[in-house]
Amino acid sequence: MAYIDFKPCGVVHKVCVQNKIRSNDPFSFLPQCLHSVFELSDSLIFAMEELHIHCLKCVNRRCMIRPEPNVSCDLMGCPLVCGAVFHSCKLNEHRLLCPYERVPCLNCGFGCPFNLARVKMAQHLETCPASIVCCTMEWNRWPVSYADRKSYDNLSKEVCDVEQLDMALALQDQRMLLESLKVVTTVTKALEEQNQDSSSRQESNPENEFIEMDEEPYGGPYTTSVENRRSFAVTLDVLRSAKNIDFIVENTNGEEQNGGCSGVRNGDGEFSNETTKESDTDSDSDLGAVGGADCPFPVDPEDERDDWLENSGCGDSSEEEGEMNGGIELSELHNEGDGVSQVRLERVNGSSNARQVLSDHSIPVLAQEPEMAHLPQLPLPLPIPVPNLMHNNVLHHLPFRIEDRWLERKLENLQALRGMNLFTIKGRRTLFSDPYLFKAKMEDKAVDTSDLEVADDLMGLHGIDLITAALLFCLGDSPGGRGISDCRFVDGYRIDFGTQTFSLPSAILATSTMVGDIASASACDHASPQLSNPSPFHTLRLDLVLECVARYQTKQRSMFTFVCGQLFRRDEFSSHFKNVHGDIHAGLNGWMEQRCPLAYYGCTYSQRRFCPSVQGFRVIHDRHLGSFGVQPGLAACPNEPLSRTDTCQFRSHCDHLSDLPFELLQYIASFLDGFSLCQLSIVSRTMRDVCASLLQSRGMVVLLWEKTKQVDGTSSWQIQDKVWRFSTAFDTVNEWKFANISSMADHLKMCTFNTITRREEAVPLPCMSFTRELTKEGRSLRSVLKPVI
Amino acid sequence: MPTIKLQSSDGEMFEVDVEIAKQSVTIKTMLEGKWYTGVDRWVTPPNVSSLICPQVIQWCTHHKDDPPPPEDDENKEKRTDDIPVWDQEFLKVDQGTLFELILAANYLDIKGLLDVTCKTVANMIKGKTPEEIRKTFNIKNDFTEEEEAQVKQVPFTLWHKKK
Repeated sequence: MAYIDFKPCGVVHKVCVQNKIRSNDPFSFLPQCLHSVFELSDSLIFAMEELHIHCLKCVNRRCMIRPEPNVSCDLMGCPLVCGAVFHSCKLNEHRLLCPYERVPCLNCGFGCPFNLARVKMAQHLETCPASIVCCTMEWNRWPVSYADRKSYDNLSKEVCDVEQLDMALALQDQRMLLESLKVVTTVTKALEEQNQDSSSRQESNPENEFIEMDEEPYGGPYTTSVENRRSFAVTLDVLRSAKNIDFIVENTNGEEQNGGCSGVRNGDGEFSNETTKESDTDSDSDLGAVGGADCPFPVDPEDERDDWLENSGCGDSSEEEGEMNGGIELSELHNEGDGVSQVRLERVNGSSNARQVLSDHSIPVLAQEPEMAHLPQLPLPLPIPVPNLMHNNVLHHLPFRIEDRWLERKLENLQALRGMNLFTIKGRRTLFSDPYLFKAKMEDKAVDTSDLEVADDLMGLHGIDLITAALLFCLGDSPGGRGISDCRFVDGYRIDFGTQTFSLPSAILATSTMVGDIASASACDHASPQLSNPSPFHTLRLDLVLECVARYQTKQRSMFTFVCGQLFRRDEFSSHFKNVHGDIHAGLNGWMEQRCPLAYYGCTYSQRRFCPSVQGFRVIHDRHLGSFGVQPGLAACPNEPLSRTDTCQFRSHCDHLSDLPFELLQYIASFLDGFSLCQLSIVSRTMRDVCASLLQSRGMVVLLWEKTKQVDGTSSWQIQDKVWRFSTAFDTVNEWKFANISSMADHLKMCTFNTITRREEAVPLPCMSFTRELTKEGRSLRSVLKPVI
Repeated sequence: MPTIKLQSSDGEMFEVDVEIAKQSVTIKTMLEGKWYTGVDRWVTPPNVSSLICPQVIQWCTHHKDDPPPPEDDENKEKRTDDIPVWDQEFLKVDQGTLFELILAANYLDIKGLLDVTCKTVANMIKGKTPEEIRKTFNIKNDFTEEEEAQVKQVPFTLWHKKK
């Protein structure tokens, strides 16, 4: 232990160092500690000023000096009877180190409300509600390979009530992954600005004003504002009705018109070639199709299926000359009257059906061109502008697909030119030094994947796998993943070869909804059940098997990494890590949760081989809390007749629990773990009050941070509030017992996927298959084979 | 063995050994009280019906040789998986009886009985979703729709501020 020169402060410093050793975050307490030290220093200075000349250096418990004004004073004992004896002028100084002196907790700056005797500080810090730890455990998953898609489709069929722990955790990881994707377009920004004006009149949602210091798994999905819910409804309505949609028009009020395009399609189904408006700047026209996606191809207005399915690769258009696709042009229309832009997705004439070569106008402009700086700043917001594709009578049909690389680079260019943050894909921003910007010509090498099997499309999504699309955003050009395109350098040019065609619903662009929010719509079931039922995101596209890769090891880029990120009290963390990560997570790969060996073929049967602590107890996963818990079950043998349980405590006709005295409810709640307290607190008002009374002893206090702008324009984070909540920890499981279950072989006897092939005829070995093989007697070997019984 | 009579709230008398009855701190205080000098000794524990009294006596009789329960350690984790098997079988009763036993154990200040009954109720709450808890105990959800959405999102402090 380190001591400083001033002895009174030495005791305080000793405590500080002690806490530092225990803390996982040694700097978390420093501000408060230093604050306390400085406070004590001021008190110390004040106390020392009162000391007499003799008393300043006298520590004799039996000092016999005669009291004399301004020289010395009488001895006294500590008023709190700690045993110390000192000159009376040192009373204030003694209070700075008396062990029985009541002082605020060292974590009072972090929200701890306790005042306690100094001697109990160390013991209190072990259970201090402000002493919280964020679990940083990581695990990894591979995305599901194409070969395994079918089996995972089968496994995901009945996921409304997931009891299998590995499936529950995998779905939770997938939800978290999709929620983390934020795709915001310029249209989004426009609507945000509009909504900001109108939302001032709406009911304010204080939750959105606060940003928690640490993200809580069960808090994220439910933080939806009124505006987002409206966007959900709009987007999912569009998705459901987007069967034959040709374009989506969004006016300034956010209305959407689905169905036939107005003013574009003639009554006979032919499309008129509407002249698109010239871009305001040459740079716009110079932006050709970025990436390998710019491939003019004919459009078949008769084929309505092509609205969404991207079934024509530009590279193969010469081979599939008659094939049409749903090329839709994104054109920019400026409503100069009110300065608000609109997005119109129009079906253009498919007159040109030959492979086109980009004209020089489609050369992407260098971002570093100095004259670009002089471009006039166009008003915000702008939709995704696409250059005029009608230059030189060459029709550049942009397939309506949101290939991340293409779109990303396009908008990066726009950003460079116009200095606006148009489009960002999380973690996928390209650099201005991207040599692609210097590319002169591009050829579309997209591969036609129209022959891929498309499952029944109950939602009217026309084969769009939103989950895979979202995951592909993350994987992109990783070597192990299913990238949208494969980038190769040919003759100094970077050419994207499309590995598959893919598209996202245009509804995402037409509304302010973010991909992550759509994906998390399933997680918002409780908030807005009508929006996400049925949820299109229930199919698992992540591997069920957990991989644990150490941080110092290089991971494959196609591997997803997930972090626990949950907050726990210091005394709960060790049991959480041991039970959840050490026991449950480690046992999900077949040890604790054993799946049928025929799971690959679609069998969803699994059994738990271990139970926590007591027979009948079981591990469960709560989707809303995003955490595991332990549910006590019937301790009796499983063969117990049901009649006994009917009269048991599991059902009641009247509410006896709420009628108990408050103190008894508190006592009952004191036996509950944090996981159960989280659940009980939202049962009723009475239960919530009971749980609230246990917050200081069982809960934890979390800081809410708010970003504030200073007068000088800089931003800083300030502590806005301190909120109390319970963690998701459950009672420590000290031992695991073998569950009383039947063998997997018993299931295999009845497994519907276990097709037993019984051979009644002998199967000849290869050497016996040829009739010319004869026995010594001259008979063929096949004739001497005995049938297999 | 000296005995004592317990009179239930509805007037029935039950005879029980003094040592067994002294597991109840309430009865023990009554017996040791200066005002209690009668030869024909009986006590009237409050709010204990004639249906519950024999069950309490049965539990106390079974546990008469148990060591005194240790003092509650606030920092020590309270577990609910250590209920003895006999008590588990004893408490396989309907909810009404279970909660009557809790009230009786509370009034009679029998810590052991209070602990096992409360642990049993806690085991009925653990691991259940809020809706399952409501179904189990027939608790009415008195949150409004707006409040129900808020309580899931808003931590305690903010929620109480909203109220």
